[in-house]
Amino acid sequence: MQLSPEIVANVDISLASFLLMFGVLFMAAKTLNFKDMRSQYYVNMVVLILIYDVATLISSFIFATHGSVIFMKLVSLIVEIALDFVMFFWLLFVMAEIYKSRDYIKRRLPMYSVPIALLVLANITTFFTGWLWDIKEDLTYKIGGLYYVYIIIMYGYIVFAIIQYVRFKSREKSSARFNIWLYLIPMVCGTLTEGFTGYSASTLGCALGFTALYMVMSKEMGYRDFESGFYNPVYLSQLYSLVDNGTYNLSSIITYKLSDPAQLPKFSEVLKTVLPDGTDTIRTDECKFITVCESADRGYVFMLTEDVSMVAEEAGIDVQVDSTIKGKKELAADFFIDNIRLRRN
Amino acid sequence: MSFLSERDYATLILDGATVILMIIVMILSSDGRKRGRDDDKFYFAILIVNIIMAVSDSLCYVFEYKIDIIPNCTVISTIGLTIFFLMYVLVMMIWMDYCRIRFKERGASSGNLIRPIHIPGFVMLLIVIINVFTGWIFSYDSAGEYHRGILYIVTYIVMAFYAIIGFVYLGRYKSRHKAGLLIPVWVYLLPIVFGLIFSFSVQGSASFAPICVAMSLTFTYIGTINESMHVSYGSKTK
Repeated sequence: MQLSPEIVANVDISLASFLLMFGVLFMAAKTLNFKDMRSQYYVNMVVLILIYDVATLISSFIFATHGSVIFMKLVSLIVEIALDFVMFFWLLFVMAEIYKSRDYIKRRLPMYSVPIALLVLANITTFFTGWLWDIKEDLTYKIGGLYYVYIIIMYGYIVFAIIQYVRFKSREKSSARFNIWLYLIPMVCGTLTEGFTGYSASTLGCALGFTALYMVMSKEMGYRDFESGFYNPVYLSQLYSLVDNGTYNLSSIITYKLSDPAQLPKFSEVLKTVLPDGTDTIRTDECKFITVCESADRGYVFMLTEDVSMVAEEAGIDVQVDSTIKGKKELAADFFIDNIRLRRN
Repeated sequence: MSFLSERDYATLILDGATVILMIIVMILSSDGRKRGRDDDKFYFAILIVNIIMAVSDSLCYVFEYKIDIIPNCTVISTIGLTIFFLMYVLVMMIWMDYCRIRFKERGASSGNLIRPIHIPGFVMLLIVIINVFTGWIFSYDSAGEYHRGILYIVTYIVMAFYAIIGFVYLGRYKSRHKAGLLIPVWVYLLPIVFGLIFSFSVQGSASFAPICVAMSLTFTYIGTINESMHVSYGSKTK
């Protein structure tokens, strides 16, 4: 079997993408919380990129061995549909990051699914008609008359996701940890490189983008306590940095101590319903939580404390709730050190 | 006829991907570097060295076998490949020291940074520099053809020596810490081994070394992030 230089080049690039995504998928499967819908969408995208890479490698093999046109068409169909679904899940991922609501995604799923259904149908039809693409007798890929319409619809998912993100950022002035550009830029670089050179760089660009995405997700999830859904003690170091450099104006702390660890899931739900936005809650020990707040208003803090106590009592949860407010002349960093014990992990 | 061959394009794409990946890791690991720990400094150094390795790799490949177009191309290729080998040896030496510091027991000191075990590496670095005049590791003839020298394989033996020691530190650490979400050693090793085998076995293949090292470094970084998920609440470990 003689591999032409062009085939070897594409195999090299696809292999690099495959290795990277395989390693990331292995680690993601061990570490991500699959109850989180973002994790589900993310793993779907990684698996699709792996399918794309494997299909590209197979197509190189078919080309090198002068295989049949039908097999090449079948492999190309898998490649195109895999890429379509990567775009689809990318949109769902971005929407999950922005709205953090499974119900929101479910309500809009029919609308988001229409283009992908059309794309899949168009690709299947193309297998017989060649409207979007075709495979010539010499096994090379040829674009069809409707190819650019197909590209516009497919990349429309990316554009729509970017628009939603920009609108989200303009609404939420505070810095969100979600930065779309860190993973979008490598993906765009890969696509442009493929466009100019003809080599399969777009999948490698996607692999780089998804690796960056996984690193960001890991960092964020590294602070999460999966049992309660709040932050874990490791987050306290990060919080102290934010307080020390003035980003977070720590003014009050509410502490909770559960008497029965078995009531933890129920208590976590209670806290989520009572506590407003702008407060962070950290699980500091098996049965201990703290909520940190930027408000030093005694009435507000007292109201929160009473609300939690009341709702917990109604739910039959035995919890001790206390609050501490920073003095007017006291520094936030000193208040933090005096009242919160930093965990060294 | 295009100046760049298919192999050149593939190498440029892979080395470009290496640089992008290393920059992403640098950005994401920047808050960790503020701790001022030795292992973070060593890790940052490996990222920088790998970027230089990728750039010099591309420089070498782009100007290799272009003597019909650029008569002095072998000079540029020699410079590029010399820097590549220097960085490759350095990457492995720094990797070994990073693993020694990062994966030792807490409280143990870093010790002397320059130790007898570094001697083979320093000798190798010297040989790579001298190679410009002697051709002991590689050379280009008057027709621009690349030739491996008598010490070519020794270079890879030295690099493999440091890489293996680094992985031994990693493996011993993981055998001591069985609980938690720690990543198996083979996840770090697989990219390097697979890429090197492929590069040697497939004629005309692009350069895999920088991207494979980049993958290994990325997985290492991800492993250190995931270790932070190992949180214990009193006697109950998550």
